[in-house]
Amino acid sequence: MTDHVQSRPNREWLRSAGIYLAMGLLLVYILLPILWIFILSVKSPSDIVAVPPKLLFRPTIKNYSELFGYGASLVGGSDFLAYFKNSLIVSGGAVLFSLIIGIFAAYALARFNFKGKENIAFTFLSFRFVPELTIILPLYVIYQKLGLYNTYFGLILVYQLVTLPLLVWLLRSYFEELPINIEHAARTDGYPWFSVFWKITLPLAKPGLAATVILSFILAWNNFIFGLILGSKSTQPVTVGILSFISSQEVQWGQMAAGTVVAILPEIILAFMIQRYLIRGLTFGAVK
Amino acid sequence: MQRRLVSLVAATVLVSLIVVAGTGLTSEAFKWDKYAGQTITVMLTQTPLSDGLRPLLSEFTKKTGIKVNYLVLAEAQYWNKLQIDLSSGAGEYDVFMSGPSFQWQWSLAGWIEPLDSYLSDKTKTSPDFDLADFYPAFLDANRWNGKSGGGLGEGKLWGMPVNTETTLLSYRKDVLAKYGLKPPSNWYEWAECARAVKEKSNGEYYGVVQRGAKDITSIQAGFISSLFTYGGKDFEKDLEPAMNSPKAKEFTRIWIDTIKAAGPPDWPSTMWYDEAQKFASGKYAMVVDGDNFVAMYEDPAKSKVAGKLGYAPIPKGPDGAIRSNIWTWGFAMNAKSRHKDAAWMFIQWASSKDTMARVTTAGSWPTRRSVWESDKLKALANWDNGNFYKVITSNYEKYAAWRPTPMTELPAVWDRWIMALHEIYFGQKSVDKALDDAAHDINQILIKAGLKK
Repeated sequence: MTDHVQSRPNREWLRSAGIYLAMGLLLVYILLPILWIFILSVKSPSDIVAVPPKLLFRPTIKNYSELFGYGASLVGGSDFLAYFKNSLIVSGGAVLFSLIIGIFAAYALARFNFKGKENIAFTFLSFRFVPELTIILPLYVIYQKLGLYNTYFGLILVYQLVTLPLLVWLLRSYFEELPINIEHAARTDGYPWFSVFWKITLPLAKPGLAATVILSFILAWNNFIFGLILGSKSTQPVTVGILSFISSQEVQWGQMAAGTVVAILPEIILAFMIQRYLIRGLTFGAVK
Repeated sequence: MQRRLVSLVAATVLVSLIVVAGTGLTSEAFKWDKYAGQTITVMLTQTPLSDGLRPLLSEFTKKTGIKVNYLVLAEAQYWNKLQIDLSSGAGEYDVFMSGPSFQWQWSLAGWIEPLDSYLSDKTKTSPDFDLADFYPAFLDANRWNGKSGGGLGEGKLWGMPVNTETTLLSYRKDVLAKYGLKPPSNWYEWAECARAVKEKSNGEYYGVVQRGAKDITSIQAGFISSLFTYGGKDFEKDLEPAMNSPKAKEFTRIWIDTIKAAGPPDWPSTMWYDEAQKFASGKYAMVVDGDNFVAMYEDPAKSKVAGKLGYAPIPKGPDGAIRSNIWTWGFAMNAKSRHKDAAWMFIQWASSKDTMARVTTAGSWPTRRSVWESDKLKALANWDNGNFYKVITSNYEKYAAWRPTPMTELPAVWDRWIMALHEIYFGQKSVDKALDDAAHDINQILIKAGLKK
C-alpha cells in the first residue's frame, strides 16, 4: 500500500521527464538545420570544406560583411539588401491585399447564406490545387502583354494565389467559431451589421487574424517560382536572389548560409512577436 | 625583268597602303553610338564572366549610348527562366548567355538569331573585331547546320563564345611523391596510381574524385573527355548509340572500378561542386575535370591544396590521342528581340579583344588567342611552374573540341547514361548489360523524338 503511494509521484516524474526528453529531441531535430546553417555562416571557406567537419573553428563575420556588399568577392557587389527589400514589399503587400479582400470574403462565407456560397469558397481553395509550374507559362505571356512583368504590383497580384485561399479559409473558420449570439445581441442593440463586424466580431477574431496573417506571410515569403519567372532584377525576392551565390566555378556556401540566416530572420521575429496569438489562434476553435 | 619586279613591288606597296588607309578610314568610320538611346535587357548566369562584365556595363553605355538592364541568376534557374521567355515568344531578354548544346534546341525552334549576317555587315561590326583571333574549336562549337547527329562547325553561328572550359588532369604532387608514384600518362597508369595512393596511405588519401551524382552534369567534362580520349564515343555517325561499343565498355569498366576502389565513398551523390570541394579539402590525389576549378584549388583562402598541385593532359588511351571536350559560355541573341542591332552591339563589345582581356580572370579562360597569349594570362595561369599554361595551350591548339554528338535530346540521353553508370557502380548490372540496356533505351528516346527511324 505505502509502496503504491510512493511510486506514484515517481512515475509521474518519470512521465514528465520522458515528455521533456521527447520534446527536447524534437526541438533538436527541428532546430539542427538552422543551427547548422548558422555555423556555416560564421565559418571561413577553408573551414567549410574541411573533412571531417570542424566543430572547433575561428568564427568570422566576413560572410555577413560580404553579404551586405563590403569587400564582396562578387565584383559587381552584392544585391542582397535589394532582394530583401523586394521580399518585404511583395510579401507584405500580398498579405495586406489578401487581408483587405479576404476578411470580407471570409466573413460573408461564415455568416451569410447566399446562392453558390460553397462554390465560391471552393473556388478560393482551388487556387491551391494546380501546381504553380503548370500555369506559369501562360501567366508569363499575360504579364508581358499587360505590362505587369517585373512590377511589384504584378507580383503582389499573383501572390494572391498563395495567400488568399489560406487566409479566407482560416478566417472563415475563426469567424464561424465566434458565438453568433454576441452579434445578435449587438444587432438588437441597434448596430448595423457593418458596425457589428467592425466593433465586435473583428476584435474578437484578433488572435485568429494574427495567426492567419503570420502563416500567409510565411507562405508568401517562402515562395520561389513566381518571383523567379514573373519578376526580374528590380523585383526579385530574396529566395531567388540568394541563389546567386551558386556560381559556375564554386558555391559560396558561407555567404549563402549568411544570406539564409538573414532571410529567415523576419519569419522568426514575427513568429516570436505574435507567438501568444499564434498558440491561442491555433487552439481557438477547440476551446469554446 | 628587273623593271617588272620593281613595278610589282611598287604595286604591292601601293595596294597595301590603300588597304591600310582603307582600314584606317573604316575604323574611324565605325560608329559605336549608332543605336544610342535604345535599351536592351540582358540575362546572365552567375559566372566569373558575368561578375567581370557587370562593372563594365556603364562603359558600354557610355561608348554606345545603349542602356543595359540585366538579370543574374544561378544556372539551374537561369535555364528555366530563359526557356520560358524564349518559348513564350515574349522577347523580354534581347541577349543572354548561352552554350552550344542549348543552342541546338533553340536554333531549331527558331528562338535565336544567327549572327553571321551581323558579323559580315561592315556597318554593324567594327573592323577591329577580328574573328580569326578566336580559336577555331570554340567558334566551331557554336556553329551548327541543324542536322542532328553531326554538322558541328557548319551552318550558322548561333552564339559568340567569350569564355571556355577544357579538361585536364590535376594531381597532388606532394602525395604522389610521398608514395613514390608518377603522374599517370595513360588510363591504366591512372587506375593503378589511384589504387596505390589509397593502399599506401592506408586510406588517408583517396586516389581519385570525379563527379557521380544522378545529374547530366556528371557526364559532362571529366567523363566525356576521358571516354573520347580512350577512343570511345557517344554515337556513331548515323546516331547509332556507341556508349556500349567495346572501347566504351572497356573504358567504363576502368572508370567505375577505379572509382569504386579508390574514389569517394559517396560518389553517387557527388555533384560537380562537391567534387571540386572534395579535391580542395586535400583528401584526394587526382581529378580529371574542367580547368575552370583550378583557380579555386590554387586559392589558399578556399583550398587546402594550393601550391601542391601538378597539371597534365588527360591520360591517354590505347591510340595515344587526347580528346578533351569543351564548354563555352558566350552570348546569343533572341530572335524575338525588338532591338537586334543594339543587341549585336552588346555581343560584339562583350566578345571584343579589349573587353575579353578585361573580364578574363583566373578560371574564366578566354576564347581569343590574343588574350590567352597575353602576358597577363601567362602570369595568371602560371601554376605548377607554367605547366598549367602549357597543358591548356596544347588543349586549345590540338586536343580540345566539342565532342558529344549534336542533337536536341542530349539531356534525356545523358540522364539515361548516368543511370547506367550508377547501375554498374552499385553492382545491379554488369558493365555489358548496363550499357547495352542504356544504348537500347537511348535508341528508343531518339526514335520517339523523331531523330531516327
